[in-house]
Amino acid sequence: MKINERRSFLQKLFSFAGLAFLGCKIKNENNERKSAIYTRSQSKVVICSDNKLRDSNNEIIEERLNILIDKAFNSYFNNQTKEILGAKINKNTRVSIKVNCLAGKGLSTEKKLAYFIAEKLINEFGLEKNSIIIWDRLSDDLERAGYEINTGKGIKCFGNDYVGYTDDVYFFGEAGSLLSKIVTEYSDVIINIPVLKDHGIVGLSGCLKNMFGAIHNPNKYHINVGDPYVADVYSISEIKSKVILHVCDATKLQYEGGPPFIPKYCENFNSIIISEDPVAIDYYLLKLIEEKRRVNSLKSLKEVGRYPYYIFTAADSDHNLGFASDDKINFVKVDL
Amino acid sequence: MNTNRRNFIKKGLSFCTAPFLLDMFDIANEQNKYFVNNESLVEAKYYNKLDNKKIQCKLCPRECTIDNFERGYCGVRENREGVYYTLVHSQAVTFHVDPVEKKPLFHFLPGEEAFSFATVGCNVECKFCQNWQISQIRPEQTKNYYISPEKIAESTKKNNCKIIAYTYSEPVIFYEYMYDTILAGNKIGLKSVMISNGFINTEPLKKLCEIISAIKIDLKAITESFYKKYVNGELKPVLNSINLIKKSNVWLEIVYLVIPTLNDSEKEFKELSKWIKQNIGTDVPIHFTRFYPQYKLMNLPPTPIKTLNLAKEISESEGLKYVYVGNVPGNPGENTYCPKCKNVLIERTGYVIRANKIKNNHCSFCNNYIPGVFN
Repeated sequence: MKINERRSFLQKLFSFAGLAFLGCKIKNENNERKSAIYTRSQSKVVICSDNKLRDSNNEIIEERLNILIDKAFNSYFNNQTKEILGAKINKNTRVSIKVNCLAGKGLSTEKKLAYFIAEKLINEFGLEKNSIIIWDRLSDDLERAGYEINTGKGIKCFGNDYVGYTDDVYFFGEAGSLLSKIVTEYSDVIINIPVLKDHGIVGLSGCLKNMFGAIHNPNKYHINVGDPYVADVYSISEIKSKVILHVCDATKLQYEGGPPFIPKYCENFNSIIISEDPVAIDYYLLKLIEEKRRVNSLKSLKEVGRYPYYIFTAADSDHNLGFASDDKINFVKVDL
Repeated sequence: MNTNRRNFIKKGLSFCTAPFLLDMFDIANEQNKYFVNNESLVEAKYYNKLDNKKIQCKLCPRECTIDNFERGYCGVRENREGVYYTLVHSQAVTFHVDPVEKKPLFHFLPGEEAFSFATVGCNVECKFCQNWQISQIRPEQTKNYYISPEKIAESTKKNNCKIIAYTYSEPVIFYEYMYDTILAGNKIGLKSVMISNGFINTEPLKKLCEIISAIKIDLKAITESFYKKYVNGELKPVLNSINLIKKSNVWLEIVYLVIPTLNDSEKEFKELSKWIKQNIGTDVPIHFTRFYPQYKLMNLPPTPIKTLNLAKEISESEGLKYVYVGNVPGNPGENTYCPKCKNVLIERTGYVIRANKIKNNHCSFCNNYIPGVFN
């Protein structure tokens, strides 16, 4: 090594030190498996449908969608939405709404749905508009799906790229990730609004998988059909403890070719599916997709090697995120 | 996050480093030909187009099938409407001048310095990664510096380096950037070395071997189970890469990071040494390096020195001629010895060369041939 001058030596030393401390560090406190606390003996899933949801141009009729959402909430909470959800949300709560906008306008969370829920929070729980963020992985994804980026006053809408990720790594099981600061610094609670679609690697993109949008390295966790990674990521304490409700946008159902929008495999389903149990919803979505595949003469997810075993891992005693069996779930179907 | 004096100093240093490096290496952080709509986009070299705008990457054995607007496992290659792009061409996240011994390459231009750089990303996820802050990150999550292949070659010369090193993260994932930089360096008489996990497909590796001068492979274990559990990769393709490199004209060295309780048994050291002897011969240098707790393996202690010495002993008893101990400054295992007369040929302390007694690839004591690139 040819270092001739003290100045040169110090320059090299300091630049090396800088390389070594690029700013990230490991959060050591959470390096063990911790079970979620899922205390219910049974979960409830409400599937609320309206076969007149769309007009003659196949566009969603906003008024009917709003009625559908209200009906879904009222059915799920037995007409006590304000009282029950009010235990977790008050006027000072900062709520973020996680949508799924990867697939562009064809198969992303309906903008009308996300904003109606935001308005519902303002009107029924007294939240300030400034306290609500609608978000996804990238602002570009949101824009491609028709959302308008707003980082100023009012209901905010932006991607993780606007605020960045934590310096700390959060662990659970096999997962170790930096988390979106929307989760760690800008949200007290999260409402999850995924879509209902097939996924070309992990079989199903529903409630559990939607939280891949909260981590910096989702590309690392699609291996082994996402098992146990999808369940592990959701189990990270900052995520698991903050997501209080899942409202699945099942106005469409894509049973093959996902996650992008492939029109020939996508049908109107005109439903909203709601539960506090992400595993129970995903279990139901899996059944729906398998049935659609059967009806359309496609091989089952199991046969094509992408059966989402992660749903059942999420229900095991290590994760305890909810239920994935018929005898533990009360499915309530409501038609408008 | 707690703020204390240690954190403050760390953050301060990291904040100061990048602009300082730009100045030090005279690198302009400007946009140019690779930028499209404010992004660095260069079409990837190895992929197949599939139906429904899907693509299949053919760069590494993972061969990810990737939907539109999705990325591969590495996180730095993206499918845009059926065209596969690298997002990190000319997007260095870090660069530095290192002694070539730091790579480590002990039989390749000893004492020379290498202009070393990396982009973010990696095609595996070692639980013991020492550079996870850049290898396990996506390009949009870091501050990157535009530095073209030509500028790297120019900066290498300006800094009196003879070598360009592709290192720190995993160069395979910035293959196109590396390839163009090797060509730019070769044009002005520079050598290029890749520090890699060897997890790359045959075709791109063959092409690379036509233009690169040396490759160091991190052979992380000799069992598939270790690769599956601690690397998220596979052993067999790495062994194939080692065989392919050895058959080419590229200088090859191997590093084996010895991790307590995970890959440090006598049986593994023997199997490893036998495999090397049978497949690539006894002249290929192997470095047994010391593990320190990192990333997701914080629960293990540093490797005991005696384990490293044992590995060296076993390999030598199997007939390997150039076996080194690494990450242990002052250990005699850092030196190069003549396998015939046993004299010290290159004396090292850490990365510093104290003496070099190799003359034109021969021992200056007994004239025994010493393999490597020494001139």
